[in-house]
Amino acid sequence: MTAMTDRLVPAPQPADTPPRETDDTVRRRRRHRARPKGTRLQRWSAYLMLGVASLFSLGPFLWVGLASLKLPIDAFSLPPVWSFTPTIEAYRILWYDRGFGSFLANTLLVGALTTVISLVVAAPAAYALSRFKHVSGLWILLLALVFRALPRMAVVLPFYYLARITGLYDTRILLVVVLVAVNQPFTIWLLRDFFASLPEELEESAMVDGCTRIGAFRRVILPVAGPGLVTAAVFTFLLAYQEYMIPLVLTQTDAVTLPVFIAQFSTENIQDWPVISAAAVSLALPIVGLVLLAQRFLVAGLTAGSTKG
Amino acid sequence: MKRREFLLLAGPAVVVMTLLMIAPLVTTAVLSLNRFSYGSDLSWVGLSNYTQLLSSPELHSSLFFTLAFVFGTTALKVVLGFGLALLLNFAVRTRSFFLGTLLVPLVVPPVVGALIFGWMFRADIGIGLYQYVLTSIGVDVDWFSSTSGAILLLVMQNVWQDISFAALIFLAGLQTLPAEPLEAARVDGASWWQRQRYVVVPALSGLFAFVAMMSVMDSFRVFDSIAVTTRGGPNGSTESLMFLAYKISFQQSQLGQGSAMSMLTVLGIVVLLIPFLIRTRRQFTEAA
Repeated sequence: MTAMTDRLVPAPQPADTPPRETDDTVRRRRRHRARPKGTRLQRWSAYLMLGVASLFSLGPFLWVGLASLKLPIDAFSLPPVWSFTPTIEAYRILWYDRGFGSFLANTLLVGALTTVISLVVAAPAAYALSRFKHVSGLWILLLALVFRALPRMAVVLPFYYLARITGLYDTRILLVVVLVAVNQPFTIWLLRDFFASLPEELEESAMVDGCTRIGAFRRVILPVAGPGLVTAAVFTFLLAYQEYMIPLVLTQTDAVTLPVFIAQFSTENIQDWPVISAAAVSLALPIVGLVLLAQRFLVAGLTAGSTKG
Repeated sequence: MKRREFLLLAGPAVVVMTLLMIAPLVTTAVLSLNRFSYGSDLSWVGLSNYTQLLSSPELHSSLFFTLAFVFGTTALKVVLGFGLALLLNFAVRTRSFFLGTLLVPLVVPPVVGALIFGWMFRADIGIGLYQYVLTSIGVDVDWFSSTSGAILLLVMQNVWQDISFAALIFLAGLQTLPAEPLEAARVDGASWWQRQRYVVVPALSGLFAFVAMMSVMDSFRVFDSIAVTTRGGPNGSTESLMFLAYKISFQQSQLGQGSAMSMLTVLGIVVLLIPFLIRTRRQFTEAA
């Protein structure tokens, strides 16, 4: 806090005399020293290695993105074709003939519903687990950890069996229910970390003023837990969006999501290659946008659980 | 916090977990003692599904592949992820740019990532750019029809797609590391390697365990990438435990045996998780 006010109102310093050794100048110098590290050679070799890593990271996407703009004959020919007339034919086929839009809409809807329900159920539980120091809390957390690691098949099989009997097979409701079940343990873990980092004095002072515990959670804790909730939402959505096995087992035509849609293309049909490429690009672009927009939340979510849990 | 308040807040989540996770698990356990397929009635066979599975060579090769995959991906992600984190920690100004590019494969669904990563290594068509480059410099690996090639391809795919998670965790750890011990080591004449080996790595040991745990969890149940690249081949040498469970359940329509296979997989992951569960328990009791 003092550093901030100091920066807003800089103390006048004569240019040629060395600045006084206040806390702030020491801090500022340390920060300055932390900035460019190493020699020029070291720095450039680090950038070079990072550049190579980035290229490897993005390479398949760039190449497939290029393939999606080619005619099938160009995408297929060997050696790889670098100069070609770009065409958006593959995207036209994908969006108009193959109904990509409806699969995308279905995936987004399922993802959004899963996220909302997971958060509503997980947030109070995560808060309770962050404050309740009793052995039963520990057991719930350990159970959540095991569930987080649980192979999907072990839970999906009974759902498949029951869904076939009850007629819920291939419906969005079933998909959302199972996705909530599978992802909720993770949401709890993530949120518990955020709530644990909030000082207990927050709700204690509200409770001294006559608030109930539940009221304090609603009026005091939730409003300041915004970033944590956004992070948890981004992640729960991402996990639902990425899920392959659950929709593969539980859907057939009506509730099919994008990963299943893309994986079911016949890769042996040459004509389809640019179309699958276009599908991969169309599916990846929105989430790449998400990465760029929400990198802060993504990073916060990925690193949550590592520091404490 | 009072017990009543805890029940009120955590109750819904506990109910959801019980109904939607524990109940299905118990059902799977019961189903695994029967022989049935979709549409047919259950017929009780006791433990014979298990005895059949445990003596089948398919399970043995699947277990071997899964453990090799878990070990390979986890070791590579820990080592390379730490290296990437050191680089990212070093490159202060360009950090978020590089981090952004590294995070892209992580957020793309594994199915799609594996699909296009596999294409890059196809030898028969022009979309296999990596394979084309490799053969033109004299490296000729058969990625799809040799066992070692197929395993290597799957390991590389997993590392490619998930490494930024490890890098990110280590980076976060490096940034919270106090500067003094490193300064002290430097003053005492420790080389860069010695500083990493004796100061940084021990200080981040908790994070190494965490990254390893997450990797073990996710690699053990690998399914998506296999389903769209090698499909278990060649000759079933890349069938993971999950892939085998799926194959038995839905391609051979033996839901009872598939359930037994799933239960064995659950048993496997619980055994692998024991050290991490003990660690979590210790942390919880220390915090309380």
